[in-house]
Amino acid sequence: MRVDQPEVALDDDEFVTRAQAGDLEAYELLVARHTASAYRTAVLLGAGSDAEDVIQEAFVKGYRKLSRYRRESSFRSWLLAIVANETRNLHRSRSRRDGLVLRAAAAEPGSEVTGDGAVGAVLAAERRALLVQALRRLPEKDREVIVCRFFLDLSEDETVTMLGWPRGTVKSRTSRALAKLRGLLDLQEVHRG
Amino acid sequence: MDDLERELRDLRAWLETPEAPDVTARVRAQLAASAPRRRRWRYYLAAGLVALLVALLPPGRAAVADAVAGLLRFAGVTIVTSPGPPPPSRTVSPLPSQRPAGLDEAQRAVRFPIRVPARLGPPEQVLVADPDGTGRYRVATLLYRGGALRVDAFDGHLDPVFVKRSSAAELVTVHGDFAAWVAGPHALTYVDRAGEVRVETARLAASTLIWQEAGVSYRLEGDLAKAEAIEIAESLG
Repeated sequence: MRVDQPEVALDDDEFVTRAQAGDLEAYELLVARHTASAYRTAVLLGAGSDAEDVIQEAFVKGYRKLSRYRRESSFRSWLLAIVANETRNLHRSRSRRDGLVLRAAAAEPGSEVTGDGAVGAVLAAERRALLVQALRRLPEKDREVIVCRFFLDLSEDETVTMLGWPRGTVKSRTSRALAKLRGLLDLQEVHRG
Repeated sequence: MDDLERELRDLRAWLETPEAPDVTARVRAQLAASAPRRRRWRYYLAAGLVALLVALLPPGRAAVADAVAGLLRFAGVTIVTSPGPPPPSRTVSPLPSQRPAGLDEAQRAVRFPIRVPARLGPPEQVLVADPDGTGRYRVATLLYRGGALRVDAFDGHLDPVFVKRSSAAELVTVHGDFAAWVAGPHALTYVDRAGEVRVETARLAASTLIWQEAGVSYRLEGDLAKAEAIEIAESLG
């Protein structure tokens, strides 16, 4: 997917220009193109079942703010910044955050694997469950940066735009978040151990 | 990349993210309902209607006010309409520290360019009001017809300062952007920097047109017909 990005970015540019001139159809194309990553972002940042409303609102706001988009970053990361912001607003208003959820298949890892592979699969699934639990316990900002860097696969530049933090903060927050995560995992292992 | 980072990347494929819904139609509907230009409403409602001057309701016009309030909410600004009496006034003029100034002097005293409507020509008098700590003024007023016709201009980038109570306001356009036309007399309220509400009760304002251009909010007040007011607004130099 990342291989296609330069081409996609180029196309975006043209549609952005048209949308900025008031062309709603061009904006609809941008919406269609970025719905999947916007939705994934909202879900991974904890919007849960409200993710659909979040991205709808983000797209509407995106259109209204479009004149302020200066192409300093990709349209995608600019848009995802709005999605992230809307998700934060949601958390503020409902005082509940949906955590990361493992796919249902992951909960029954043994079901499709037999023999020696099954043991390894079970262990791997347990480890993933531990990781998700630890992630859920991270402070919001730490989790945000992990989601950007590892789950959304955003570059450092894109993460800077998306979270609106200085580059140095993105770097330091990433390593601090990883350290906290390690600490939480160690703690969990000890409890289980 | 260490093990934990690799594990996190691997985890990505195991995280539940449902199929993305198609929101295109809903986004389109919402945007079509508020035509592209209308987004600017927020600015003026925040800065124009809300910040400066406000029309107070004569009793019995509540229905119209509700329609306006609906519109304002639609535009993304929450505005309280209250049929109650205005807060007591402590000053005669609603604009604090208002004083006359020459046009050039006034220009130096405010942070935005003062533009004179070509239709009206040079003002008979210029006033500035509500200075901040550095001596910059917030409002500039051009007076015509012995003070019966006035153009107030104020920096539209100021934070919204207020509660608005509206009377019969109508949507019109100035240079293709939405503007508000308030026909008929209404009292005038201004919230100063300290948050104090100043209501002018001595002089009832005549009809008023409120619009915004280039980040500056304008208010034209006088005994004017709507078309005439719009012409004046569109002739800003």
